[in-house]
Amino acid sequence: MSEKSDDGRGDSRRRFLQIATCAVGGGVGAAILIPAARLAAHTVGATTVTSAGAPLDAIAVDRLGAMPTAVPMVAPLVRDGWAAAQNVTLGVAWLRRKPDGSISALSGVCPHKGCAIGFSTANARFECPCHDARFDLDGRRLHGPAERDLDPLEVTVERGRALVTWVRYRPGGGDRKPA
Amino acid sequence: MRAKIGDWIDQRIGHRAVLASWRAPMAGGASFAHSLGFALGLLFVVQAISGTVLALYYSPSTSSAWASVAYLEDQVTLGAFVRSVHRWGMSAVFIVAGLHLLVTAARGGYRRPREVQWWLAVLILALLVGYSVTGFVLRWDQYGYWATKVEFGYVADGPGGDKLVPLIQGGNEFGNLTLTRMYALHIIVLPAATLALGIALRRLARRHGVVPVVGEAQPAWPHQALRNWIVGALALAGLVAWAIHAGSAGLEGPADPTAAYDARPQWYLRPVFALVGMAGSWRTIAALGAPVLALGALALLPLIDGRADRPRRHAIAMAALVAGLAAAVLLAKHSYDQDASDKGYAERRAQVATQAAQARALARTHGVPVAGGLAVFTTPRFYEARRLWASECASCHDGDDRKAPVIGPGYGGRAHIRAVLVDPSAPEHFGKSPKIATSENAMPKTELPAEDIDALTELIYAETGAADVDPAKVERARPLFDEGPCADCHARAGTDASTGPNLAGYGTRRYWEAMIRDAGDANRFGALDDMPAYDETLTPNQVRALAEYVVWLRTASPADEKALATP
Repeated sequence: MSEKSDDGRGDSRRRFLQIATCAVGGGVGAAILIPAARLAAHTVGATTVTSAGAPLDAIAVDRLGAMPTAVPMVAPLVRDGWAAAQNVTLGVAWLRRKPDGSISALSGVCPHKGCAIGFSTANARFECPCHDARFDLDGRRLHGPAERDLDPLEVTVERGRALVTWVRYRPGGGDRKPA
Repeated sequence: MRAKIGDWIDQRIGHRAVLASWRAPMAGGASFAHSLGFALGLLFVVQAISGTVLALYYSPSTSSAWASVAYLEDQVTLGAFVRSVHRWGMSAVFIVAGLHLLVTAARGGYRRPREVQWWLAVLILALLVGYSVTGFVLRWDQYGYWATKVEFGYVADGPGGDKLVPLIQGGNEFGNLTLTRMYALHIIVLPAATLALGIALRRLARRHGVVPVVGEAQPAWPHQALRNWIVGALALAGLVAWAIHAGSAGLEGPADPTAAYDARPQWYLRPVFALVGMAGSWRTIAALGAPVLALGALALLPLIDGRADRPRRHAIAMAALVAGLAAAVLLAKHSYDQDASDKGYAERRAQVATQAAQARALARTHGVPVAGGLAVFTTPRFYEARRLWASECASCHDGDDRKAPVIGPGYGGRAHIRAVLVDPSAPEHFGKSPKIATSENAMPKTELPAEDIDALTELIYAETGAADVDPAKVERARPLFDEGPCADCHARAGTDASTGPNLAGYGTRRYWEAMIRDAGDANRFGALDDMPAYDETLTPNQVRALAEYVVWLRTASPADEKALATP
């Protein structure tokens, strides 16, 4: 209306109003979206699933042979978000008695994409059903997509029982990093 | 009057202009070629409705997800059917969306000025993969768990994977927050995005109109509308027929992190899976790059073949599109063939099916414990007792290497008591127990007339509290027991210390509980005890479970025992 008559002042005023509207709108948008995004991103870097890192009682040592035995790793307590659950099976460890008599434990989580590996008795090797990765008795890579050997787990023997410290390593990559 | 009401409404919502636009002539006339978008929209509506009613039952947590889906599948009216429609509806959406894109591309529908429409459609195609990934994990069965685990593994290898995976999977590992997140994405975020893209696409489609077919102009209503509903109804009929034929969306056993499972993607991602298998050390690039490349190539079509006056370019673009599609089909076929020729794969799949049937039957009859889906396997009768039996008891009480009496069906029943009386040192009784078998104090054979042995049997059997005791026999046996050699070693009341087991309450739960806790107690085998005491290694509940099992064995037949689940 009247802006037409006094060009310069009307333009700059309109410009100001445009900028002000965008600023207020953007501010409101940010006020809504920033907290929402931060809430959603809480899980980045957070440890949402925890099981105490104490060694888990696995199996009587005298039941182990030269061929690996799959032993479920049962954590007495797992915190998963808000929940506390007892006796949760975290995964499987493959235990065996090595020729020198020592006990070795390998994580049953494939270092490629995290599938659970199986053991082929006929071929005396570990085989992953997902992408056909294969490993020898000591967990060394024989074939397939894995970029590192099977992840060894710490094992101690106490009063005839094997105790295994369960760690879930991040699948993928050549280096071993806990998930 | 009607006209007046119509006027009143039109002044307020302007519906007449919309209706008039439906009657405006469509360039080139109505055609089935324009109907696929409508069919796609209709399928999305079916997904939304079926998904909404499924959400009335679904519970996203690691402890309840599988259980709630099993409940839906096996116990809710039409639950299996609606799940089937929803699952295969996703496949139908993929098929119709693919057809729609193909028809549009063949007709040059991505050319100026419809490029943005085309890009929006390609974006929707990408969202469909998101629906699939976030949908299958919700079941928390073996299939959904492992397929998603592998998919996230590839995301982790991609750019920014370190941050992206904890963001989408909800933390450092699969857990409750994975399910709440996948669920929110599946039922809120993706549908909202699809709806926004769909509305934008629809508005652009109205703005630019259809790419005309060769024909006379016709109004959309009713000529195009009828064709739309015919195609839509056919798509729906096809979906329902397939959903009924398939019978179910499928549900495998609960997610088990220890199971070596053959993770496979859905059919629309099979070509990528096959490519990854062939790509050698390039597999991560193949897994992440192939889908991006395929969608990127689609998005580039309008830039390569942007004008209708260059038929050679169009022919090349179409040839590339068809070649790409054919390659995808061949890759998928190769992968399916590979699995089909793998005997081990078939065996493992059969095991998965058996396990799924077991888990679901148990969930139906016993319900799923709050501990989670896997706990359903612990619900069969005497499961805990049998598990303990296998780990603690069987090595001595069962098999040829045993060092103790056989405990099995009929144990503590009349026939068993009688057999012990007649020959306590028989190998199936105490003949293999190291101390008892070699002790001078071991029980001798009872050499009495048959009626007396019968009576003594009844006397001991009466201690079990069984309902079918013959009081006359018990009466007759009392003096035999109290005055004969039995009472020299065995008490049968109270807590009188005795050399042999005190037979008071023989065969009851409490009797076996005391035996399991400490068989070396003065009221049990005392100095002749060969069995370890379990009062410290087993909990009271475990001892009780075992004792109840032994009591049950008294009246159980071998067939009854066989019918119990083996842990």
